[in-house]
Amino acid sequence: MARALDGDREVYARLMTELGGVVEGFVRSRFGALRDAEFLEDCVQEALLTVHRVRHTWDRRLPFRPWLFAIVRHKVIDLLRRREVRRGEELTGDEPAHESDPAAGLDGARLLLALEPAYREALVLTKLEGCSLEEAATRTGVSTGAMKTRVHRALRMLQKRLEAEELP
Amino acid sequence: MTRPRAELIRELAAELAPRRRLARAGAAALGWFAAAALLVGAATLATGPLRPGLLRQLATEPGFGIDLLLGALAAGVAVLGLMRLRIPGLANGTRAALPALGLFAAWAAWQLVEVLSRSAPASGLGQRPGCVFEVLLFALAPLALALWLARRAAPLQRAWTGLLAGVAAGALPALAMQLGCRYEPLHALGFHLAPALGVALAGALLGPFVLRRV
Repeated sequence: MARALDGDREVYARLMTELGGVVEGFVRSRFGALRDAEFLEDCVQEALLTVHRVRHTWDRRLPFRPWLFAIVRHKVIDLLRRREVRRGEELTGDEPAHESDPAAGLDGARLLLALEPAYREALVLTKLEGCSLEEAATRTGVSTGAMKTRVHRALRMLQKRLEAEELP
Repeated sequence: MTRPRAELIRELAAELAPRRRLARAGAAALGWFAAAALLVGAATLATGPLRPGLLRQLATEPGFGIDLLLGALAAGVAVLGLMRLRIPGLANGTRAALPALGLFAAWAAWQLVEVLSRSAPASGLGQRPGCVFEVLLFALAPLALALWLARRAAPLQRAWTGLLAGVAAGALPALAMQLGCRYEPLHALGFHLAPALGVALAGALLGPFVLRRV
């Protein structure tokens, strides 16, 4: 990283490519094999962009990993939060209902699996499956307000768990 | 639609340009403290003299020394926490803020201790009629400077960062009023420390708006 920051573009491109893989592994290990590959790629690219934008804040005398993963964790949560709005705007009433089990396909998603089932379900439906709040509420048999609260709490729990966990 | 990752990386590498490194947290905190103390000191002296008998009070009343020490520590620890919070991965919001908030609370609590333990009646020497507004006014430049320094970096927890900027910026003029205005613990609580707390809350509210989203 230090060499890259000194202006070596080739080294920087190599570093960014490696970081892309690291971030991808980080997200996969916490959210499992995502059905929405776009979300995974969004996480990786947003993290890379942010690393690039705030690269001057890394202190060369300090370890690189805590700095990097603080940014990655922050971006993942930020992306999940913003995703709710975007999905809500994109989906129309004509979208087909999701019939599959929302917990399916979460193998290896230790972060999600550690959440209580109701919160995990809320998060998976609205953030990873792309359901609107209303759709998720209908599927789970709760009110839209209750679903909104669950999503909000689930995100906070996720953020706390991410911040508390040991660095990979 | 997300574009190919390789394309993004090529673009980022192409626009790679050297950027000025940030000062270390301790050095930045020291720099802010010195600049803010100068600003607040100059403003305090420009608007009125220091309290008569200040040096004698410092020499004879250990409680007054503790009072000043707690105020200075609250400001110093707050700005150090702020400078750590502006760098990703260096500090966590709650853990960075708690020591400064604890010191500020201890400073306020010390005023109560003084109320209960003082036997002599309060002296009206050095009364500044607009001290409450002076605290608010004198805190503006240090607050702006702290937020600007935070903005140049990448604070991930903007409300906590703003809160610490507010604690540091509010504590210094409150401390200056302890030197320039009437020394009476209840007056200090209501007219010096309460506006400082207001500045801290204003910082917490401003943080998410003024600081860039990382």
